Amino acid sequence: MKLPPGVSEEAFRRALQDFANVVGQDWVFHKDEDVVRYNDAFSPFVAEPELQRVASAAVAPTQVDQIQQIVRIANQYKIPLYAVSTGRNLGYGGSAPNLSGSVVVDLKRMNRIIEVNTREGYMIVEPGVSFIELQRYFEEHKIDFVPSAPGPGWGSPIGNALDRGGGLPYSDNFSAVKGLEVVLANGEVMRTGRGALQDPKLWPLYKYGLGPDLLGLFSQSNFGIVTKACFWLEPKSDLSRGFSISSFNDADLDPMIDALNYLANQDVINGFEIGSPLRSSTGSNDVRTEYGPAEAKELLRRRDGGTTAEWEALARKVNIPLASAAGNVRGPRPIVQAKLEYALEYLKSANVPGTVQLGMEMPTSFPISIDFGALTLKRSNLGHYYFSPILKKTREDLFAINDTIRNVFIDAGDYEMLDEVAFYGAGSGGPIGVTKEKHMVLLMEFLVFGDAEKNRRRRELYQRLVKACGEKGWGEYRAPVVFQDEAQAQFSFNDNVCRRFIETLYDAADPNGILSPGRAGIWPKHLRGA
Amino acid sequence: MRNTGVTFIACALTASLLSPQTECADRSKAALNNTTAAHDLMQQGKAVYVQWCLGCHGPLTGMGRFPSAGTYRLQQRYNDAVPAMLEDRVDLTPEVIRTAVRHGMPIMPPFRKTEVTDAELDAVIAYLTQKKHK
Repeated sequence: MKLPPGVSEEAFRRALQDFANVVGQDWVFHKDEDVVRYNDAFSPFVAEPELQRVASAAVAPTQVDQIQQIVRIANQYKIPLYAVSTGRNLGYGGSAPNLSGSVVVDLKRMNRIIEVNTREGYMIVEPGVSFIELQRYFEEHKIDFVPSAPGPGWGSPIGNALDRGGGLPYSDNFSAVKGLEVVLANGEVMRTGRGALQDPKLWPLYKYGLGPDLLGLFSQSNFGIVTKACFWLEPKSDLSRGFSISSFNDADLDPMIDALNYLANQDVINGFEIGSPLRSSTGSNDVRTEYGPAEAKELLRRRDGGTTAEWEALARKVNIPLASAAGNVRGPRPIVQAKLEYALEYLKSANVPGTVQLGMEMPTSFPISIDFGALTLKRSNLGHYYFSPILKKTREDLFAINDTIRNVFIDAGDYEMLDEVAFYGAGSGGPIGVTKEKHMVLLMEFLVFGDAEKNRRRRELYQRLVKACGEKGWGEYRAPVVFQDEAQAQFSFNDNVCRRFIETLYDAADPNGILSPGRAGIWPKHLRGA
Repeated sequence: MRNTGVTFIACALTASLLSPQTECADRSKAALNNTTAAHDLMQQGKAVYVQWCLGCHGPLTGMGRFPSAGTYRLQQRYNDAVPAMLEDRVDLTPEVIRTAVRHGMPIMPPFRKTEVTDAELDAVIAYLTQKKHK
């Protein structure tokens, strides 16, 4: 049995019994065969079990008052807790804690849909509700609204939003959260914003209280255990239809981005992607796609990444575009048709170069995919994790970050990794821009294998990337548990004043450091710098 | 919470997908009930399967942009020596299913008891091992 750091076996056994008195013996897991299921199944250390972040036990409450009691017991015994909603944050740590020996508070059994209000367009849910469960509930009750959701739907709206995951229609899923109920480190229950009023009728509708905004304190953080969240919903659209514009000239990407930015700012399109299809065609981290020409791979392996002339010649030879952008419109059918008509006319009148293609009409439904086919399937990988920095919505930044990443790989002599990644493109390994945001997110998958040495090299590569990109202003928007210290270290302006300020708050709110120590690189005083 | 007629409130998803089986003293009724109970168990197993398994173990053609991940991986592994869709397999044993669910497989994470209870796992096993023999 793994013990929490600094806690004796006897004290831990007493604490487990106290937890069992709260939730019942069946819902405290301490046998190895049960606790191992809280490991990160996609851990970068998957082939080195001795190095993995592991829990000492797990406890699964169903009620807020049970969580309050669990927190008080943890304070009594100085036992670190690590709360997970559904524990499916695969690619960013799963259900594994930052600090080995933590007791996982598994909130999956807290899965009540408290309220779905279709007049005012919001819902209030508990953390254990999954997107799939929500989808079925909405379908059963014929609710013509949708929550903001990522692709694969086995995660939790609360868990995903608190990790500031992305999705549709909001892109930043946390931005759809307007109110939280939280159990604080001292066991008290707090509601943010209007929820603090004696009559909380405006809790789901207006996110601020009076004074500093507390909502953000609970995302990617360790200031409390969230037990309810109010989400805004969006009306379900009739349909979604996109268009693309592509060309064989690199420089054409600039006017394409300018045009799509204009259309996005005018609320004509709901989202767009940009990329260099020929360059990204070589990425081989998904066995189900066809790869691009070998010549493209050779150019990407060069430190200069190939000249524009070389790329343009190759693009024409293999008939794969060098620059492309795609926009998407969704909504009621007449609106979609009118917006598309306007968008296509605008592209023409603005003389945006390239070939325009209209996409198929797609019925819109719940914005999640119930199938998990998007999981990367290289022949022998056991999982994956993400490097996901934020970049500007410009060609210069897109190319600069990709050149930086390529050169980190070249410096490390890791051509295998260089060949796997789909550079300069949308989708896996590429950037995604969303209408209301002024930035793009680059998602780069690192596959994990049964080969410990290969995984070790990739971890080093990841750490080099975090530093090389961080120095140039491309910090991550979210990081896997095992890399959160490195990711946080990039936000170092003025001697890390941001981190030190958060630590000051953490020390005051949680003097024993029991809530998710190490989350996002924020450690309690007694573990700082350890 | 208010019920305005447009508000759906307080739906607990916590109820197990399984319901208690009835007991019957009458022997003939018991036999009938055993059949019914077995049928119910398989139906419950199917519901659990749809909830937790189908997303990855659906049709090879997929239900979205990609082939179903689990079905695809099994096809790669067995090269069609056995059906890639779990629901088409007749060789699955309770032990194999239990191990896969509780310990995971390459690319497939394990499922915890807070997600799939032991009783629900038994129902899935019944669904995957008995339906082909009916």
